[in-house]
Amino acid sequence: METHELYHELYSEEIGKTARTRLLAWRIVLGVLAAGLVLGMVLFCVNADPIEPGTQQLKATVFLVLGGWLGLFLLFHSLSPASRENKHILRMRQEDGETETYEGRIRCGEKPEYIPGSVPVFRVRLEDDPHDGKALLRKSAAKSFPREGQLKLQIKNGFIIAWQEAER
Amino acid sequence: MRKRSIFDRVPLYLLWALFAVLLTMGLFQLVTDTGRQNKLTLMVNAQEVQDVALMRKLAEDLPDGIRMIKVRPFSYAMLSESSLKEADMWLIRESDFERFLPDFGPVAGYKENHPEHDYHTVKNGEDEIWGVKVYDAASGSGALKEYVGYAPAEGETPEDWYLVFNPSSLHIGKNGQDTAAFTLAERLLTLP
Repeated sequence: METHELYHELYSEEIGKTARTRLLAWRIVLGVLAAGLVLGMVLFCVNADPIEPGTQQLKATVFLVLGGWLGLFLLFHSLSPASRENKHILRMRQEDGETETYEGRIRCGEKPEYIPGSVPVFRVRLEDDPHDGKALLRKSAAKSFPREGQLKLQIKNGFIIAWQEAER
Repeated sequence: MRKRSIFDRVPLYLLWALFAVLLTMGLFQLVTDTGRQNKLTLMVNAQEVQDVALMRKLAEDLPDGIRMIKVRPFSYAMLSESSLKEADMWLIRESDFERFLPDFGPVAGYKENHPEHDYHTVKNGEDEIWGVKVYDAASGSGALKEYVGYAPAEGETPEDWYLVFNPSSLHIGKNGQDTAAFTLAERLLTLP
């Protein structure tokens, strides 16, 4: 009999800790960026030439515009997703809910879906489910998840919380 | 639902840029300017004014109680309407007296103490409006030639130039105030 991969837990304590650390890291990065912008502006103002402030003012403006754009980019593309991910994982770990088990063929969607205010997910079709069911797979957990195959899933509140390859 | 791309947030990025521009303008205005009580402003009605060079020269020796001296061409008033009326002194041509007469008023304490200078006097009702001569067109001699373009525009007649004090200045010795504007005038008249 062939051996299969180990049981994959998608909302383990370790995963929760990683999500918290990632969120904290991005908060620190943005905090440092904000502090840097403030400090930079203070320095520009202190070094301003009262007779001909134009050049310093232009530099300060460019500095603040670009710094702010970088901050906005990191906020929307790094901190915000990290925050949503952390919130989602925490909620899934803390929430009560019935855990269902499914064993059978699955087919994972090709493109992730983006639900406002939540984490990006893949829609996984449970092909052997008599009710033609679907489950959601957190995008960040999808790297090692097979596109299709025979799997054993644990599903809670519509999300796949653990999986392993089904025994043949 | 598709992933929001960076282009969906362009209005927000533009808004930040606008905010940054306004904030920087405000901050620099705050740190590079000061109130009228600590500042002297000279407005020059000339096409060519080496305002920066003149400001740097005057900054070498500021009158007591004055933190900065601003020199601005009259065209600056397009950005700030009050800048003309709030200036302490105006450097104008002789023909400008008629044009700006309503804004002029009597100023005491300088002409009487400096009879050595030449003056141009105009009557405005019962008031005597005067300016101290800075540049003589006939001889081409005078002060501030390195900083002010006295030459007239094509087709215009060369004119004498005068320094006129604003009667609402805070530095002409009214009501116990300082006479820093008079001190500045004396300094200006010595500059080449």
